[in-house]
Amino acid sequence: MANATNVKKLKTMYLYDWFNYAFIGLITLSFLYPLILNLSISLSDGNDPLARITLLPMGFNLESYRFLLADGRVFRYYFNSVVYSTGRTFFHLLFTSLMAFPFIIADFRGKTFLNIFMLITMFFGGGLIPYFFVVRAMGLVDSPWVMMIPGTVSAFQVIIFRTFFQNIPAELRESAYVDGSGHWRVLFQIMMPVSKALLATFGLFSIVGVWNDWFTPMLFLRRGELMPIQIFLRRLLILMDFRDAENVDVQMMFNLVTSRTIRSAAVMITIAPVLCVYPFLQKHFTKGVMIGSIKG
Amino acid sequence: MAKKEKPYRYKSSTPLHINLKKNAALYLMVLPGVVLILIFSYFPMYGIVMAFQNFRPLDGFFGSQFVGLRHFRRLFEDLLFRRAFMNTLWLGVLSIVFTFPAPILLALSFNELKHNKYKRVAQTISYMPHFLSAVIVVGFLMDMLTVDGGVVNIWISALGFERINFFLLPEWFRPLFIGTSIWQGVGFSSIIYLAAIAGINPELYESADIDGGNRFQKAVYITIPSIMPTIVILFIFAMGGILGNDWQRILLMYNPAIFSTADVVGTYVYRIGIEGGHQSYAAAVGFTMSVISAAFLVATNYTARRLGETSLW
Repeated sequence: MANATNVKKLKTMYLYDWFNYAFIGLITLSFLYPLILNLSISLSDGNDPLARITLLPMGFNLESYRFLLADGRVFRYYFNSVVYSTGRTFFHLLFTSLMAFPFIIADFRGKTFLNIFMLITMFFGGGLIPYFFVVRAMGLVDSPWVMMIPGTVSAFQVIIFRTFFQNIPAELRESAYVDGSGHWRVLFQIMMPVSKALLATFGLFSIVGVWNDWFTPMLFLRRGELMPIQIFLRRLLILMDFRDAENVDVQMMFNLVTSRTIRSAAVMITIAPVLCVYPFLQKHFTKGVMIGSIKG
Repeated sequence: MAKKEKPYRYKSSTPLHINLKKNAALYLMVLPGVVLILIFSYFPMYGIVMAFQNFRPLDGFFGSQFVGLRHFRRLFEDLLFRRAFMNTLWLGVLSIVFTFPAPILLALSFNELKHNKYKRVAQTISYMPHFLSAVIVVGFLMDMLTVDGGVVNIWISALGFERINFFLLPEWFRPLFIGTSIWQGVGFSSIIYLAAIAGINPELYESADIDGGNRFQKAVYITIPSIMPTIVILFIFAMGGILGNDWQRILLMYNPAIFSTADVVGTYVYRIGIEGGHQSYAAAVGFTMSVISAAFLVATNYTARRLGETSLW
């Protein structure tokens, strides 16, 4: 009986519901609108640099994309971003797992010490300026490693990994130890494979984090060939600096592109991979947010 | 949490040298992490000494000349620091008032949706801005607010008003900053509240149904009190971070014309320390700021513990 009334209730829309649905609908549109607008601009003709585009493209051409992709440097920046994201994510997952695993082994000594060693970093930090000079002193300025190594191990994430490992039934690894496996084997062939959800979540966060990071490269990478895509975007979008797109003037003369359509196209090619991937990992990262917060 | 810590207290009875040999792999495993934390977290902590020095990069942390508290004394007379501090505080207060409650409201709204498909699609879209970089978000904002050809100004002039040059007017910076914070974070931050709502015992709602409670009453008397612990914990975090705004995004948004509202301590430190070459003074400003922030966190936690049962420690 209770069920029947519930179903009935579920489908009856009250005035309040209409408001609520409209509210959520409006908010959703507000999330999408800048993206749609940007897409439209990127597809527009270059006739009028001040085109009043409010929703749909004015004219239609793919020149802006062709122009961007014809320039080898854009590929270079894109490639750099891919290398930095995957590289850093690999080290991040590897080092964090390595540091978390010994904590669940009873025989491992120094847990208390390491715990304090990590906890201190959660409450104190040196701040930007000392950090900058430490990284510089390590010789990481203008080195691709600056994107892949500093900060790959953080106390917070080690604690999350540790908790996750702890909740994996101990019998699983104990039987492996009985069979004569060493610690390495147990970590890489037993623990990591059953932690796929954890690795996927933090892998995604890390990849997106590096992909979107513009501050680290701005601080530490000066050489053009090391630049990731975000620095390129910053020049185009924020500084309105087109030094990376020299023949844009020629193209503009033929009314094919404007600096604005190029900017928008650059944004589209940067966010495309992220937008294609995140909806499919939603299940994982919503869970990941929870794992992260419970420990907090 | 305390219960889970127990296994670590276990003391091994094997003599140390045998343990080290048997478990060499384990000690090797933590090595990269320990080294990285040492270099990139502890070295900068030591690096704070530069705030008490006349730091010169060539002399390093060990060779630079000590000057005592000179930089800290200078800080008290620095009007630009005072302005940056007040701006930081302003943004902090505004984000507590506007940015913090937004995801709670959104989660409550999502929770009232009856069609799961609609709900799922709307949620997925709401997470999207979280995955965009600050450069792109600020880029969107700049494009939409441009005086000539920006959508917002097209509408403003269509409605018969004077166009607004948003990025040159100091009074617009705060609304724009808070607005973009909400736009980018509200969906993703709602996840945690939705999860808390999902964890509420359905029997509570059933008994409310029997008592004839309406939806509004259920939200006020069941949903909100049930997620209160989550709200309080996140509120403590938010208060602790009240002085730690997203200043890297401000670096992208601001320009000298709007420094009077947009320059915060983070951007000020960056500007004088990295761009301006006053490293020691910048480090002193940064250090002072982190001490004040820490005090804020402790104070909020203390207050939360006195007022209710939820606290971080």
